[in-house]
Amino acid sequence: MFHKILIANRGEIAVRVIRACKQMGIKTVAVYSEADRDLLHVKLADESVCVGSPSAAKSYLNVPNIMSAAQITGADAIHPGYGFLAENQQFAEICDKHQIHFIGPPIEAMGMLGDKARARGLAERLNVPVIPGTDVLADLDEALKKAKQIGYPVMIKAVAGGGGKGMRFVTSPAELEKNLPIARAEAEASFNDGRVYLEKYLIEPRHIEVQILGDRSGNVVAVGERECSLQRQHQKIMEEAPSIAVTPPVRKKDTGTRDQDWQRSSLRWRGNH
Amino acid sequence: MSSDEEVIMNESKKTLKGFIHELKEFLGILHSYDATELEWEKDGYGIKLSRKATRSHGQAPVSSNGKNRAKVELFHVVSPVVGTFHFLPEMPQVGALLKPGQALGYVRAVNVQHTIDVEKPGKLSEIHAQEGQPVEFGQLLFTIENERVS
Amino acid sequence: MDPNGKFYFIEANARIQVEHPITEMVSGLDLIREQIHVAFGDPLSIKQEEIRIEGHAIECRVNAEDPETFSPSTGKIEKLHWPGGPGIRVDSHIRQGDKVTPFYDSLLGKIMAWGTNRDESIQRMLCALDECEVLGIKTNIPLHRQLLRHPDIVQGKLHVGLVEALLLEKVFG
Repeated sequence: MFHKILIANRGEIAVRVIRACKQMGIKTVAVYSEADRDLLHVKLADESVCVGSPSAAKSYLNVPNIMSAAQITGADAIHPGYGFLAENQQFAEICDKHQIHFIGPPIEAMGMLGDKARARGLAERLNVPVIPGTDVLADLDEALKKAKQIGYPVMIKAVAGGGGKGMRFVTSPAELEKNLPIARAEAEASFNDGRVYLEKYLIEPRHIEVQILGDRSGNVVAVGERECSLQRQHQKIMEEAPSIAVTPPVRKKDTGTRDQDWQRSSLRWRGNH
Repeated sequence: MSSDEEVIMNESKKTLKGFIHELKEFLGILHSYDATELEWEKDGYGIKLSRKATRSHGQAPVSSNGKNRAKVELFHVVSPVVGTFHFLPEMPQVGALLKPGQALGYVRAVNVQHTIDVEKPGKLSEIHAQEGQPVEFGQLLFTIENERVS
Repeated sequence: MDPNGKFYFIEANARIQVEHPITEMVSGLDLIREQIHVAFGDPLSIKQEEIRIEGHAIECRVNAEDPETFSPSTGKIEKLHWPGGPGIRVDSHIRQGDKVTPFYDSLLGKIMAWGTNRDESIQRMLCALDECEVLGIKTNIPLHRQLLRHPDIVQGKLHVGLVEALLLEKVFG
């Protein structure tokens, strides 16, 4: 098992990961910003390293200082938690280069799933139903044509999206014309990637997730679903498991197909070696 | 003094006390986050504080010999990155006079070396760093005395 | 999932999710432990046919924010008491005396309530929210209480626009 894990995060998830490590007998390294010196994750970890000034860009997203912290403490793995560096493919590659295990999916899978357009393409190839939508839009003419085919209302979404950034709800061609450049600019500013696509807007849908775990040998399990429909501005507020909207036969079919699809695909949740 | 005047006096004392208390808090926030500017507004009144940013954290003047003629300012040279500290072949000695730009050592991070140098002239008063020591961001490496005549 | 029960794939998040504890509560698994094991190269500790989902779990995200304006609330936590009792789990990092700063997200912690069925988990969550005490900063606990008492939510008629619609109608307050 790993000897020492560095937790590249703060707050409750850092505490959660440290607790799991302690229960498994693995040593832990906390990293912290100057604003977080007195927080619980710093106290609970066996060692701690200050990695920068308060702004996240200079501390919890500071890849050189975090890698350096792993090296000076002799950590052999990094757990990114959620947010910050958790879905940063480049960071996973740097870990790999320095022989430090990134606790997350393999690099190819991160690239595939982090790019929403590619993830959608993969789902389509695996016959998993997707919301009617488009590929990356070249220009306004294409957007107007495709929106007409799909039928309004439609959603403009950023390829690199998350947290509602670069996302716009439009109900008419005029609104699409007005909002397309805004969404692009917002996506460019937030993710350094201005590519956007369209998706049909579903009326009053539920947000349901399936928890999937997979290992390096290709075993994949689905651990039921979560209902995450209670949100404000695309931020979840309250979640529950299971969902009362998912009936047992649906659950069996859904988790069953996911399971098979994921086994068929090349995406397996494993370490990086 | 009429009782009305007394009330006003007490009120203004309270306000002043509250203001000083808040000012202290703001200064604390500025310092602890290494921020350079802070703006605060409440009920139509506002305050703006700013201070000069220095990588070498200056300390309050220390009086020497109990007289006011010479003041010694202490500067802390801290590590700008996480890594391993190393001295240069020519190790600095306590008491040495340092020139701005003079290198005292370097911190080796992943694939990169960060030179630790002096920003202001002064006398090296304390060496906190050790050869090969792992250091974190903001870790104290050297203290420099800057004597100035007032 | 649309109102007719048809599923559409949206995205796959290649990381641990904030709300993973509710899955842990109904499955008995430790997902972080599994994650660490498989990253090391160990096989999963469980097979699909061994997975049992038991009871119902709810998570409330406790944020440092004004429950009405949703603007972040910062300051010192003067007093803190997290709830406990059967079926209650709290994942949090805050302690009395900690300062909540404006630099990061406003999540103070998560309260999870497990029950043998949905009604029981709602009831337990309501008790837990009532017991919870965070003084010195504002939190969204009042919003959670109101949400869990709203008929649509009690009956499970949920959709992604529900909270915003209820807020617009000024149902709460």
